[in-house]
Amino acid sequence: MSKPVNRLAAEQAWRDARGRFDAGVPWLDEARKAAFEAFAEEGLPTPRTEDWRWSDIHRYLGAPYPPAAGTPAEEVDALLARNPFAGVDAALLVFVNGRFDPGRSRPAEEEGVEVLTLREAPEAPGWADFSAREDAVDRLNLAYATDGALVRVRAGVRASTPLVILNVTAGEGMSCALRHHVRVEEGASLTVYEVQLGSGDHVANVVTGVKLDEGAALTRIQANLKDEATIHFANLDADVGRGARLHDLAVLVGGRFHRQQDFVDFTGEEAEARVDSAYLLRGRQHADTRLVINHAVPHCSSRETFKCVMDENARGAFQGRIHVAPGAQKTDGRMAAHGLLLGEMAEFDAKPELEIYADDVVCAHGATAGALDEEQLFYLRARGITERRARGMLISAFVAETFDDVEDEAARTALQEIAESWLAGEGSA
Amino acid sequence: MLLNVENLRVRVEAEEEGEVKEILRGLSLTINPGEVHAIMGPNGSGKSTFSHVLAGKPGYEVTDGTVRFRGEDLLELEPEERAAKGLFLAFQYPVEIPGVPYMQFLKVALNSQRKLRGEEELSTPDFMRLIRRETERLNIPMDMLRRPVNVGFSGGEKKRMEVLQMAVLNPTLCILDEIDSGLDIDALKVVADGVNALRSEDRGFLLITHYQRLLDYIEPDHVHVMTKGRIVRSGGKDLALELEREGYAAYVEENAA
Repeated sequence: MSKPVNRLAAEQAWRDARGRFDAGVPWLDEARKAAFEAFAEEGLPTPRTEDWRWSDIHRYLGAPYPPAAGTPAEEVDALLARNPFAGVDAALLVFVNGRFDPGRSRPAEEEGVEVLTLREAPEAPGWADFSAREDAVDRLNLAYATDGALVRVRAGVRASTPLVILNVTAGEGMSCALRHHVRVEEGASLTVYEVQLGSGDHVANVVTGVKLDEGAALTRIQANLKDEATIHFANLDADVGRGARLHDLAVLVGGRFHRQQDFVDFTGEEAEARVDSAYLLRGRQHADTRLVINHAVPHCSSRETFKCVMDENARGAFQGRIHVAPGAQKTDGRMAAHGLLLGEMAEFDAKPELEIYADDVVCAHGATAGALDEEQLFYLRARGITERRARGMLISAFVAETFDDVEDEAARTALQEIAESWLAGEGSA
Repeated sequence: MLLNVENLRVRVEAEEEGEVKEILRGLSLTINPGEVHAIMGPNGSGKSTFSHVLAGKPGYEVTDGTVRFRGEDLLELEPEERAAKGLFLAFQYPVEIPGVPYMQFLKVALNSQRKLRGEEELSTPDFMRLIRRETERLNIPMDMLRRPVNVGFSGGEKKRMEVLQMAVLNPTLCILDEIDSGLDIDALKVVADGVNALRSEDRGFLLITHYQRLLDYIEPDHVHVMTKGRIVRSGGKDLALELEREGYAAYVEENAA
């Protein structure tokens, strides 16, 4: 593959940082080396790369963002105040500019729930994969990851207290990378809320690896509430074992550019995964999601619902693929992407795909894009509801479908409030 | 005077690009408090357009005439302001709104109207008392209010819920657009009973219907025949019976001549 002669300033800065900013953790620095070599070899995706067709990152990475983990930031407490799950009774892990911040964290005290940080781990845990996949975000993440959480729930432990992970980044012209790994052992369960908070023109890259053993259950709710200057890359890399259940929901209102990539691999039969997104965008925000659901084994079911609201000049993109391997019979996979366009200059691109190599499966996909329904709007107004409120009700109803199955009421309320406060800013941005 | 319409002319842009069609051609009508008026007419005579224009549905252009509602220029008001001032349109096809629970919809609607009128919002217990009373009266199970607005409701259920909304929102002018369409006789009786219970000396009704059948159950004081965008004849209840016997043909021809 030929490389562009002129590298992006960001890519050049990342290459130049080679060998510097070591984590100081021998096993991690070793893993980082291989990832860096792969990144140096392959570079960043170009606009011609199919998986990035709707996100020209050259537009966003024209300036250098050298790794700068550990940079102090004054804004941290103001950013932490935006944690939407502050009202949820939970253990708290705070990472500031790529480093764990024990002073602002609240340890998990539940028996059978073990939490370490990468820097505390004496060696790479055998259950977490510290090699990068064929993906620029993952390579770059591992190449410069300076910390992250290692969460392990022991077999049979149904953790009653959720875990909140706050990834806080603040600063200009720099980048930070975190790598979290969560393992839920046989028959155990856990809820994780992962919140992206940040301000300033910088790049954050957060990869979350998930391993679910037989019969395990994980609910993971991610929220991006960053300022409009930020650039964020986020990967989910999930290994869903036999009879396990994964419920992943990403809610996004923040950031200038957000690229979400979810790789879900079914590795055991009778497992279920649900991967939902609710994005609310305005201004010139650009948010892009790529899902790869890999039904490698039979008898698994997956549901993916992507809801994207775009006002003004915002742009939302979705590329999702359900891959059904040969022999993965009785796969039940459904993927839907829906765009709600409020601004005349807003744009929505969606490409849900099925790639099926087994003959006894039920799979479906669909995509819709449109404006608010005028008939619904008039019906509400004819009952005395103001136009602004009526629009808000319809927009909330559009995204709320993805909130309905969040079991924890405080968390569900927190998500509704994120949508409400976005709506409160409607028209004023 | 509750409603006074003088020489109303309305046109719409037709589906085909650029083509403008005049639907109402000089319609006049007066409704006083306590009166029940019925407008009857063949399909395409402009009956539903009239109800939409009164409620403020976008997409219609008023080219001439006046509409005064309780002394105010109705055409100057937004749909929500018309509702807050006491105008209620029961839709021929109530709209389904997935994701919005009926209960929330009713509460937001009622309190939004109160706010627009400068009244205090109703507390949740007071609202629930009101809902319980009216659902019992209309024999509507509370479960229906937990479902999204009109989603998966039968035709009869949708219409009954329109009557519930009317009872809860307590309007002064109720416009019922083909409230009888799609209803079997039992459902029609339930809806008609609900409407009749709301008849009072300070409330007016405008029934829009194609068939006389509805008027057996909701007895009007005045019946108007509408063809080609205007009222061509007015009379008492007997006029409806005459129309039922003889059809609209005479009026359509008379009008065309």
